[in-house]
Amino acid sequence: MSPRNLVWFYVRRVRARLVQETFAAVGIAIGVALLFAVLVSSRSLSASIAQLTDGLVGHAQHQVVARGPHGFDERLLTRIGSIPGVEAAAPVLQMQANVVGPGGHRVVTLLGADARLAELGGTLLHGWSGGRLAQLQALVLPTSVARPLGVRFGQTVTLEVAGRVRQVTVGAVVGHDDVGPLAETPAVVAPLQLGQQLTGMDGRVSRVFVRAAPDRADAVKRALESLAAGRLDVRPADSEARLFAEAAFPANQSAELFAGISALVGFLFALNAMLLMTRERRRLIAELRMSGYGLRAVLQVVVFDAVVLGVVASLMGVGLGELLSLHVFHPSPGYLSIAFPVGNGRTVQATTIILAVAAGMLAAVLATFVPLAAALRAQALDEVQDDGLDERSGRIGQKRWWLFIGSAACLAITTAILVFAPGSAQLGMGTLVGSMLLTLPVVLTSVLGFAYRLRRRFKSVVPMLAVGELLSAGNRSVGIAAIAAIAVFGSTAIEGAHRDLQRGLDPNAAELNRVAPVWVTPRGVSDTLPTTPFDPAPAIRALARDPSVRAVQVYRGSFLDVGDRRSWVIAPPRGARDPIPPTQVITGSVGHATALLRSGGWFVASQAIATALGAHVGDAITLQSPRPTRLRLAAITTNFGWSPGTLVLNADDYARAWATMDASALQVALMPGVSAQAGLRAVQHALSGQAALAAHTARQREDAARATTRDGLSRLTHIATLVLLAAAFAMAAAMGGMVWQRRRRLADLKLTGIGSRALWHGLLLESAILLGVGCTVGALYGLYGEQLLGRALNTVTGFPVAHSIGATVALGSLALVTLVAGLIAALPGYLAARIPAEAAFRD
Amino acid sequence: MNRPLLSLDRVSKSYWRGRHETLVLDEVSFELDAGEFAAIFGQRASGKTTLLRIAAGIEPCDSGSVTFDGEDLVSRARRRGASLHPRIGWMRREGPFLPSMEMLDYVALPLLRPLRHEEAHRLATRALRRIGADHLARARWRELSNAERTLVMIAQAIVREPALLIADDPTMGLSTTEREDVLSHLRDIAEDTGMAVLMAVPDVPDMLRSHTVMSLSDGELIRPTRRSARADVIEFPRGRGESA
Amino acid sequence: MSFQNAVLGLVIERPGYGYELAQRINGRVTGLAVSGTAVYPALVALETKGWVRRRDPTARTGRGRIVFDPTHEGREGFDAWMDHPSPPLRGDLRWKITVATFEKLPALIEQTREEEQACLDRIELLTSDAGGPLDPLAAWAPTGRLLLQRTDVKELQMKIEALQEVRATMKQALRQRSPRG
Repeated sequence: MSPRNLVWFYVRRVRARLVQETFAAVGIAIGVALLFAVLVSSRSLSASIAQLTDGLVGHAQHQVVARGPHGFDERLLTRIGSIPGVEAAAPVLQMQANVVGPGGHRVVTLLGADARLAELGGTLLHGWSGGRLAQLQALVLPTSVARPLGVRFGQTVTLEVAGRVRQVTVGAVVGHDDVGPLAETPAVVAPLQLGQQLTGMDGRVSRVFVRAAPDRADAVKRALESLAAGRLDVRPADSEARLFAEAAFPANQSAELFAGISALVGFLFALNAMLLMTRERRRLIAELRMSGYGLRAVLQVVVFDAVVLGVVASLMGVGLGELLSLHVFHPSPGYLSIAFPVGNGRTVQATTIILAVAAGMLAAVLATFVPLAAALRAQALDEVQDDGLDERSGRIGQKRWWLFIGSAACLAITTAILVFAPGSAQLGMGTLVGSMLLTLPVVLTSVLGFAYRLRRRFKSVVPMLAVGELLSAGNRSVGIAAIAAIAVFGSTAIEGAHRDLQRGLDPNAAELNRVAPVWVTPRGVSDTLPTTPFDPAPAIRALARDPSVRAVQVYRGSFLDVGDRRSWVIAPPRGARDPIPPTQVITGSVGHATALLRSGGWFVASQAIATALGAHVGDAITLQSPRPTRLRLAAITTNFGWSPGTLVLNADDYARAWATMDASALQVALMPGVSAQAGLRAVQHALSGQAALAAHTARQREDAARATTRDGLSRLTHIATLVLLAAAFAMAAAMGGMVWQRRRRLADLKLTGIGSRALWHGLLLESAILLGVGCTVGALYGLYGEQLLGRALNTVTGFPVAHSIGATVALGSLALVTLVAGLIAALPGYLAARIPAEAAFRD
Repeated sequence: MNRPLLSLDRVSKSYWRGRHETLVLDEVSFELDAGEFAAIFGQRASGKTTLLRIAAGIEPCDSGSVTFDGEDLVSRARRRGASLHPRIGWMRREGPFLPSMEMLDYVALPLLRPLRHEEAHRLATRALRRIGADHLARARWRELSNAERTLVMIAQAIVREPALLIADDPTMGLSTTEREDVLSHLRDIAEDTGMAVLMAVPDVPDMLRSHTVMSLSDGELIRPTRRSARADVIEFPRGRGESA
Repeated sequence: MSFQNAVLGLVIERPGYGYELAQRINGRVTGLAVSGTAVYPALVALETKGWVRRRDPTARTGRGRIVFDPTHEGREGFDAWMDHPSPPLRGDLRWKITVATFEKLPALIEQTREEEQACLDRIELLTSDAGGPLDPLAAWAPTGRLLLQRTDVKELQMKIEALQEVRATMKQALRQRSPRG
């Protein structure tokens, strides 16, 4: 057929099946939308890091990075510049800071830089001549920071950084027109000298980006390494993105798993809608063939159908996904923003759109072809004489053993993965879903067969009607039950794993913070993970005068890049009550490790860090800290919820290894009988001169830590709920469509004298059986999936995970889906049951 | 005189197709007594099925009245979603929605709501036996011949022991002996149980077992002249040869 | 009787002579070959009744043809025949249809009804003694009887169907003439 004829033919036919076609399109669109929104939200975070990196480094290949927050001497820059082959070298000072304006406060990355950075070719300082930037004794704010704070050019903001508070003028507000997507990055730029003054790091820089002549890159790298002399790191210029990828891995992995499940729900929805249309299409094919068209023309028509459906549904899906990502799935960096300059700008990459559309097209093509494969093989006349009953239902019974064996095999593979390779959770979830989908027809036919045998027990026509209809439309019944199963499975597994994770993280938050009743930290988000250094002396002096304070101890901490992992270094004071959270030790004894840690020269690390360092318990390693230090590993812990990993050593060892006496936090012990609240007030009073320091009780810190982790994980709950709701609507639509299509048969049944009520009850029972079986199977498999995911999270991320069986989650999902879908499906059922008997004679 | 079981009085009905009105029934009137087996002859598209549907109270007419056992069937048919009157049986054509269903279950289907299963089965067996099809109780739809299917559908229509059985072309697709079998069963049902039977046929020979014959064409129902005094019809028309 | 009336109808339509009247009949009724001589007895009988009369011999055409004109009584007799039903199941209706005019259609429609009723009367008469189920193997005699009965009524069915068609066509023609239905 010519394209024109195809279009003409399509338009003619589509009017007759607009409703079903819409069902199918909406189904695919929902899947595409969820996939798209999840991808956008997880990729936006990485993109935000990548943008900043691009903006900073330009064409630089290497960077020399300080290992600690105090940076290194800027005089090193001269020596770097004199290395042969170095074309440009630009110093950058980097520190997390808190900007306060009339509209509130915002945690940002303060970047100190000068015109040399522009020479690297990055966009961040594009257009700033050297002179202008150096003269500017002011900050450059991106619009995304300036606008919410209510700050404009020429105004003054308060900058809280490194335990200091400074008033600084805003020298410029740059938007998209000036710096492109960087306008979304929470980075504030200051001339290097101003930055050094503000942070109290005169003459020091955090990193130097180096652009080498392309043919000299390796030689330059070697020269830089010898210059670093083991006290600085020499890394690729874009290593920040890699560090972030590692940190964001667990969140992204679970989000992508969820995206997969939502896509699967959408696909099943579409498949169901297609099953509703199977008869129409089989007739069409038969008629085409009876009219003398060859297989080629038939295929053209079918492919054209699939393409139109796929394109329309994918576009709808991307549109819907855009709305979802704008209003529901905000990219939420959670606590990752403590260690990385992560913005919450949304980035829609071309590959995301392509991936989402491709998934939609694939679903459309599969959904069109699966039900038609048989029709294409059949004799032309067979379908014309189709008597309207789905005789294929018998086949499920015959294939039951094969399905059972296949299901058992999939389950065995899943179990093997659970036991031996929990890291391959994606594959395991795949085989688990496979096993579930294979089990479902077996369970459904068994339940229906059992119910059919019981039919003589009932004084009602309702069970007979319901069971009979379900048995006679076997494929469709399984399809609808499968949507229910997958939705409940997905939400039970992920939401359960999510809760296990939360339950594992909660005691950890408590144990880390309850070591002291009151904490003093620099203001800002680094409240949660104290890693920003400040000079503790004035604060300690002020606190020592307060009568309710018994003792003040210095807590130190920062981030240290170990391999591709930005590890969290915790250095509690020697005398801390529980320097290691007791429930988080995996290998080694808590008491022994605590004693060793107090004695000095020992550290504990999370599994991933120990592996990266190549250390076993008892081994001595040289920690690549600013001043490399030899330490022995006392125990292995969880990562306390910081996915890249953690290191614990005592505060004195830290001071030695980082060559600093600065504190990251002060732990305040109170006099006996002084409550935490009273202590907090006393501390706040004592610190009234120290504006950049904030005091919190252990309880407040614990709550803040929980809120931060919850914020990062809440996306999972959103998706879980959306998948459930989408699935509920999908099933309601599928069941409604199934019922609606059957109205003529219902009318015919009325000719036997069966009334509307009985028919409606039959339809309700049908929905209840489908939903009940689907949801129950889904919930049972979901509980297994929860174990798998829990173990996977535990292994892959090193998170503390509390293993449990989330029966309440499972029951909740089950009840929600059953209720929503049941209620929605009741309406078309009610309307269909009220069809007049006379309709049995209509064509 | 007892009042008739079913009476149609000046019933009219037309269908609209676009701007074209087709008058299907034009002031049709007839009455049916209990135990009467009435046959309506009509050619294709003569309005037989419409007439039966109106008589069964599942389709309203435009004007006129339909009274069944003192009840107004027109307003009943106008109620949305109304199903068949409990004392009227309609012989259907569709097989069971579940291909593997046994015929005893299928015949018992209309009874399952008010009755226990055992009781429904007892009545279904009785209905099957009445039309000589009790051997089909355990059979499945796809195993049955056309004649057997017809018998099963009659059994299902009479299983509730209605006062009126309505059958639209019950002999469709059957051979002469099969037709006579089905028709004699219908007559027996009328005479033995006092059930009124109203059927429409496209073939005059199939009316030979009925008590009453009528013909329907172009919306008009024509009845014989001497309905009440059948025995008096003795004057055989003369000059038969001339009429050919 | 009916043939006579049909010839009368033709004369009323347009006066004519024997051969010409025979030609007109043959033009309308297929399957009959009416000769001129067959028409004369009917014309003579009509003349005897005073329903037609020979035209004035002075008006002869010169070829010896005798042209017949209808009389007033003839017209009244024809109308009475057309408007009132003839005994059923005979050929009258056939001839009436042949010579009908538009004005006569309502009366003819009514007569097709009565004719159909007569057919139904006969069928009902035959139904009264229908026996048990047909079983050729048990005894042939009742089977043969029933088969013959079926054959006989099949003839009536054809007649009924034909009458229904004629009536439907006439009704349609009337409706088309007065579109208000």
